[in-house]
Amino acid sequence: MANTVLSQPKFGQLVAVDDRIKRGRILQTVGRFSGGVVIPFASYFFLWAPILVLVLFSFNASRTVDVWRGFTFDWYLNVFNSMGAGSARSSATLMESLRNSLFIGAISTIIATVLGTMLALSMARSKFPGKKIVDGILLVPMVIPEITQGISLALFFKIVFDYVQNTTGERWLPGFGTIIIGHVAFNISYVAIVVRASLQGLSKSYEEASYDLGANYWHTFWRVTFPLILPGIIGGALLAFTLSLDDYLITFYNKGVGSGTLPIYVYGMLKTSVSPEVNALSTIMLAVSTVLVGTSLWLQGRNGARAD
Amino acid sequence: MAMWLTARTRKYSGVLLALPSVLWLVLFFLLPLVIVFVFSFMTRSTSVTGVTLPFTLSSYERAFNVFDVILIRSLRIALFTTLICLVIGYPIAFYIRTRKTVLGRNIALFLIILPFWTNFLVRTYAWQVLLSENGTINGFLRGIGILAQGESLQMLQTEGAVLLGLVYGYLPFMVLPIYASLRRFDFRLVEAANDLGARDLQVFWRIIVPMTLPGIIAGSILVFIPAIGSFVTPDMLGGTKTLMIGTLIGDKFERDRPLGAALSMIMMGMVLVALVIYAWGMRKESQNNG
Amino acid sequence: MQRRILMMLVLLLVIIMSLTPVFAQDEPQTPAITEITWTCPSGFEGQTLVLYNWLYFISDTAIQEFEARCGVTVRLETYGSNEELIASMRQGNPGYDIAVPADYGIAIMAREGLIQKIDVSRIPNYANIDDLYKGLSFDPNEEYSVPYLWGTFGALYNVDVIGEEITTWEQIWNFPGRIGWTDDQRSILGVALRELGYNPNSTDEGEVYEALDLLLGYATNSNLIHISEDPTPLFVRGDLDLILTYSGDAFQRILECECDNFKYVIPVEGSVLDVESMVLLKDAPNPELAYLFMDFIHDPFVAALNTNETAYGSVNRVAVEAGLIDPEISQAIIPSDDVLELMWVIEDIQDAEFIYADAWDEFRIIISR
Repeated sequence: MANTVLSQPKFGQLVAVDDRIKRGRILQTVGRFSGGVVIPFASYFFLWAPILVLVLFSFNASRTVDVWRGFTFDWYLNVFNSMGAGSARSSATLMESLRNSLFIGAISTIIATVLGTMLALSMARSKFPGKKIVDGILLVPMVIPEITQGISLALFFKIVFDYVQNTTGERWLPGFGTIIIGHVAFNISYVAIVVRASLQGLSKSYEEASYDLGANYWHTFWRVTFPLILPGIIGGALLAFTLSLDDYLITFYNKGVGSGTLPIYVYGMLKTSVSPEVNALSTIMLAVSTVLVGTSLWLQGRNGARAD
Repeated sequence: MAMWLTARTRKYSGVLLALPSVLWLVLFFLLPLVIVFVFSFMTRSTSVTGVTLPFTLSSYERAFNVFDVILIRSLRIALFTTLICLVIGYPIAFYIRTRKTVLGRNIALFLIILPFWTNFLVRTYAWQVLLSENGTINGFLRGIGILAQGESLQMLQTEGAVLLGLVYGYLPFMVLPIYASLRRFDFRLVEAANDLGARDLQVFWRIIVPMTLPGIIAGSILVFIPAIGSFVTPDMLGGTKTLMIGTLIGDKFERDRPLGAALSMIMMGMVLVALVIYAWGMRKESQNNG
Repeated sequence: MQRRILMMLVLLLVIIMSLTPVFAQDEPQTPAITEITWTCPSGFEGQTLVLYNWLYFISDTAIQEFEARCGVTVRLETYGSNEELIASMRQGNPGYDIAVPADYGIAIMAREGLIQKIDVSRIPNYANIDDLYKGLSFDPNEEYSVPYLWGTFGALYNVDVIGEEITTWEQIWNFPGRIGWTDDQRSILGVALRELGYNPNSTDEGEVYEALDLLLGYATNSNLIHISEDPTPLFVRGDLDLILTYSGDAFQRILECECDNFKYVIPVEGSVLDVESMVLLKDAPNPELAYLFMDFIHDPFVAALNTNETAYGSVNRVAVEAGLIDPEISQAIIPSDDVLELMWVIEDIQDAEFIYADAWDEFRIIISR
């Protein structure tokens, strides 16, 4: 329908019109669609209210969360103290689970980013028989609920490990390896989809020019394609890292001894009472990610502004 | 055109590049699902594997006869979650897209994504604190006199609480794809339509919605799937009346594996049906446009 | 470097020699126990013991003592139910040494070969355990388990809601506030079976379904709004007024809150008595250290620490008789003799377990409508 509304000459005229003058009116129109500012602001409040509660109670002098009993930094001190040796068992476990989370997140992000980027290159830049099937397989992790994925993977490892033990006598155990395999499995798709999107937005002419000038595939990728799709790759990697840090179910069903992550620790804690140290740690993590993500967005914004 | 870069080399490199990922996904994703599929047709037992022969359909029978209430409820909650996310998420995406500067747009986007950098469990826990009978909201309502002292609203352990938790948890999955498709959207089309006398609603339904449909579809799928399989949210915010399929699958992994497997398969079936409907809707839409 | 080590050794020797006579003189006439007398044999330094246990089911002090005395590290990981423990062991032991299943779980794990036989002659302190807890139905020949702690299944409630203390199951079922149950099908259906006059470990389908109907009647006439693995956090926060739970979990909350409106009751009609026992898991990486730990746990002083910190009952006769258990705790958790006589232990009923599972599924689905 949209095509019939817009006939070619009209569009040509429009392009010539000064964008800035028109923008005011366009915004008025679309502003009505977004319910003015009421819905967005209510939504932002909705998103931030629990976070504010969390931050607030990380400074609460009481261990319980129903009442405010004055201001304290104790929980933060506990978190920092537990980074050293000789700390209380529970804080030490908290820090260990944080380390595990970061380790698993980092390794699985690296593997998933490399594999996912390769897959994206393949999907966006070449044709081969069975590509449709690959396309389908790529979507599988996004359409399988986590609980099914976690349990099916656990059953799979059990069968494989039993087979290995029966044939070689060697005992394989779940642990970091099994968790990372699971995390990579669901992250490949997300990375591939994000990177493919940035490849699709990139004209093939850059790469063709590089080939014309005699560069081989390897050179072309590193000197031309890679720098151009780097934002996409970073975006995909960030997404993968976030998903990995947040995962509870796949980790729960495939963990071994000493490989529990932060979500596993927190969930165990929720069964009794959440210690304010968790609130403090969450606030610290939030602050760190705010600075990191904020800086990157600010830089992108500056670059974008310059590009405009 | 470089002559040496023939179709054949491209095909070769394409296969090579895709191979590791495909192997990984087949080995660690599809094969495990095949195991679940096989388990779902086996007989439950109190053995180490939890399953035994013969092959039977009894787990499916029980799933549909006994657990039909749970299946329907899960489907309903997931659909409502998707719908609410769409209704809230669309205006947010619009709001972000229409910020005047790149910086403003980034800040608006940033404020959506940032809460999701705290752990999902911790966020859900924060809602527990907010909704509890002695929690923040009830305390506030008592403070301003809407509720009398000692009175409280029961918000936790209701379907509303579960819906709220799910919407909260998955809203960005809706906002981001819609925003992505709005980013590519050329607003001069709106201008053109207005110039040609189209009213706002017409513009919205005939131009903006069709152009952002891929984003809407992607967002809906991304919300629907985790919502229907949700485990943590109903566990933490729900009660006896909000039992969902994800919780049941987790429970049956420990106690009755064939039934758990059958429930998993049925849940995946529902996801598949949703995907087919979406795909069909999308094709129809593109036919209309074409 | 070497010289310094030598010097320290000499110093140590001097100190020990100067202390030894003091100990010899002070040897007490009466065996009053004031400290841990258990000594760790050398040779375990630097090793690790991996303990798979219920949450808050062991004294932190005891673990630290064990670590300090043996120069080892204890790694503690937790599970939330017998079923979770069994399921994870069926997946293959990922490296745990000791687990602490409750009664019928031991029978299941032994039957499936998930645990190893234990040679109790290698645990000198096994003699400290009360005979009452040895050779129970789940391990009649004392082959697989070392009793650890015991508890009861009862109700933790907010006395302000009803205004009086409750004593019977009838009062629990008809409690006027918001009710939450621990998701424990065997215990709850067992209570209903007993109420109908049947064996609480019945394997008769008709009887179990009669119990189900009874429970459905109770549930629909009361405000049962929550069933989960552990409803205690909701109770503590005030979102539930009565929960069915285990004694130790209940008393930990009662002691924490320092309030007088939380009460725990074992109904006079009797209830489930659960005995948790240590088992040596199949493929345990360090069985030697596991044996050592089981012995350590039954040093009377350690056993007392364990009970005083977890509020679960002690199976250690020596500790109880020496008066090491905090009187406040023993008073609260030990049922009266009349009630004790009516208590029962959940047994392994093999495939009849599925009858309970199906009945429970039906229950949960009907009340979720």
